[in-house]
Amino acid sequence: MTIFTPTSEDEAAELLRASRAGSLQIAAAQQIDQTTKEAVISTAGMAGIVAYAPEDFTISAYAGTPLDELEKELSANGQRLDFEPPRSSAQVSIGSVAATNASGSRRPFAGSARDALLCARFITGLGEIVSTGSRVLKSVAGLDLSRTLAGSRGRLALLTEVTFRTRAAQVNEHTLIIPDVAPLDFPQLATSILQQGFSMSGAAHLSTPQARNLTTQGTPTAVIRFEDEANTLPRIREAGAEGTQIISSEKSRGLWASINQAQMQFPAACGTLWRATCSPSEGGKLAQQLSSLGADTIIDWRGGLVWTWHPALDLTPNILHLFAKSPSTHARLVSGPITAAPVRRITQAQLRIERAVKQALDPDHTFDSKPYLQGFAGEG
Amino acid sequence: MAFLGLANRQQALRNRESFLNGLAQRLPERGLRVSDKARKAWASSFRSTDPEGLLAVALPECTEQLQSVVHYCLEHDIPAFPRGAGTNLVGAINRGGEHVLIATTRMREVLGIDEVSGTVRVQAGVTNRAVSEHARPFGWRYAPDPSSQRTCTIGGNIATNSSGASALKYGTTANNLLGLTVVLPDGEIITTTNDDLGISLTGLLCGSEGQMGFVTEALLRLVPLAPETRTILLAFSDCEDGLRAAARILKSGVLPSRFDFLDRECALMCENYTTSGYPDEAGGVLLLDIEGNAEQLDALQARILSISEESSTIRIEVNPNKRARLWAGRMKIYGAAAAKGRHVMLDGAVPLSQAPAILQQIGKVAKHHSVMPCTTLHIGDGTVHTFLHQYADESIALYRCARDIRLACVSLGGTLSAEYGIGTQHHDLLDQQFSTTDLAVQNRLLAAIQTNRTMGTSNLCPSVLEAAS
Repeated sequence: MTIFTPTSEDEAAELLRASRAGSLQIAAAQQIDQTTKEAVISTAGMAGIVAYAPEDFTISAYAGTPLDELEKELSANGQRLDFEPPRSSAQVSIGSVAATNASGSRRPFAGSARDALLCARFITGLGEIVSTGSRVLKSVAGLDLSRTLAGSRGRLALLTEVTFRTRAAQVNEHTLIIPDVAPLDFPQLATSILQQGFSMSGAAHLSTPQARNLTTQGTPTAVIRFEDEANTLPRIREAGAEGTQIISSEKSRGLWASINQAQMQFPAACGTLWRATCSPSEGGKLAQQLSSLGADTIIDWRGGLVWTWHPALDLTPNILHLFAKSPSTHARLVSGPITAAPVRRITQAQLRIERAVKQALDPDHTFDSKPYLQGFAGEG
Repeated sequence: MAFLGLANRQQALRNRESFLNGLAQRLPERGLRVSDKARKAWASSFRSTDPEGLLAVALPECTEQLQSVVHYCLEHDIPAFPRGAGTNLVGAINRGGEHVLIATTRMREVLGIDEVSGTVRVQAGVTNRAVSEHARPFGWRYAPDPSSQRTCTIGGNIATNSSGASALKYGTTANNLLGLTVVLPDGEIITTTNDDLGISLTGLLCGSEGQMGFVTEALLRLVPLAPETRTILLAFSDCEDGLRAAARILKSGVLPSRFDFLDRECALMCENYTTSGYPDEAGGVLLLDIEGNAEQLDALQARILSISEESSTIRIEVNPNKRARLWAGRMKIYGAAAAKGRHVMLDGAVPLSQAPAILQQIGKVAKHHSVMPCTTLHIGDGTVHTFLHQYADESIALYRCARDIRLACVSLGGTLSAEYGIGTQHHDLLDQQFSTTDLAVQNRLLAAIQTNRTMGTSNLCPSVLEAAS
């Protein structure tokens, strides 16, 4: 494996122009999969904050900038990335956050990374340096490709610079812990609390033994986070039934940091871990069915995200069947001793358009595109 | 195939009646409008009523009927364009050449609401306001609120990624859009989602000004109804004091659900048209809504007032009627501008820190062109709405002035258009915001999806594209 680490946009463009025939993976240096046989282009050499204007609520940084560095700068100014990017490792880069649309528990309430990405600079597979979007919240001048590049996982272009919208960080944080909530009942419960007018910023359900330990409850538990600057604690307390408890500040922040690293709450050395997204109203039912098969689950995004872990390989066909049966579910294998194509509902027409977009930005397939632009399990 | 297409086109245009009869057969009763009156009505948008080249208006009721019309137009090589409520301001409908308009006027069904998820699926012709009206009994509403929300359609909102004053808190259409059903220019139907596995076609199509396909259905995200809303008016004798207070309010962590600034001339124009309570002597007026429960609102209100010490007038309204009255002047701004006389309006955007600079630039540019400007800003999202009125019969000066203000927005780090789009009116300015390479790549993407000429030519900068190719 060859690792390229260009230190400028021009250098990266030159490299891509020379690499047309090959297949290149994009990664921050610390996230390179050492088992890959492909050449890798790392963004680690293009790091640093380009411009930060707290009064404009925008921050621009080179793609290789560590997320920690960027968040430290924001925190010093009382601001944050509202979409709460989760960390799969300690060295996540801001470019990879954009490229994977990495969005945490606040996503259903504050939007995703894609929603906060205002503009970007990128290099196509042909080595063209392109700018898209605008540093303001609203722009309808030209096609905005930043929304297309967000979540495209390095299959279309090399992001070199990203500009995100920032928001003022909230001071008060409280989490309502509600024990004995079945997965099936969780989405409805979260919705009923949301509609009471609280500043809800997280709604998760923990049913795995490991996750239950996070709250010291012994039963499947719902956790609901509230963030604002008013003293709404008495009202929050009223919203919870008997047996609920409230944790605040650091304790609450610690809990949500764990939920945002949900994959780390499952035994890494064994078992199979899946990540499924669906409409929130389906998430509870899906998790309930998965639990009855013997799998452990964590629900996040008010029902829209279901993590599933199971130790027994022979459950895999049943789990895939449940994913396929749930009308709005898309799922992928995160880790495990097997390989499995993502479960994705996509028609041939949609696949053709995705390929046309790929062809427009990376006609020579310089960037690795497997397996996402190929056929998937669960295809319509 | 190209020769065959040309032959079919020539035949269709020679035997127009036969072509139109065939088209009518693909539509429900009274689903095709061909009269001069109808063509003029559907060809109209805010600035134009020119039906030149418009052969007919098709009014399908569902995705499959619309697909059938697209297939038929493809067979005859006749371009077809989508049309919502015709509220666009940039010539998006009047494309020239013989063509068919496919209007979503009869696609007004709310297809279903998911009360638990807080989502609603609608047909493209449903009006923006109707979505909220439908969702309200379930405790939800649709957040994007363009000024034309009574009449503009969801399909049109998607074409221009529309939003209004609430974009600061709740985002634009793209941020509230979860999926689409689209008839592509080649007649195929796709359904897009916001899943994290593929490429976001939803994101690509939203804001593409109807150039990539005919949106027929949309899955929209809803937000909970606010338990209580308060409207606060803050007037400042000095315009810059008002803008500084606005910046401090946002910096303090307050996120108003609506937040607008009106300069002196704009406040006067609105007040003269609709009595709303904007002080005559104010150099600038801030108008904002805050939402939440009583404890939250008390805390937010106290903070806003503590950091707006320079304000000369403060009004706080809780009663819905009084709140509506306070906003009435701003909401009827288009009527107010029309009542004042012939005018041109624009929709650039700048970063918030550049708001004082763009107001200065507007003053200079307007003086240069001998034009009277008045401006309202969406605080936070940076939208600059300037209304330009003429002193004498010099309408050309209005357009030149508007163009110069758009370019000033770009030079201050903003954008040519925050809301209206580029349409056929502003594509010659795109090369001021984007490089030749940027536009060439955008054009390649358009070409990748427009695999035939059903949807006509692109709105992107033709001269630059020619140079790029």
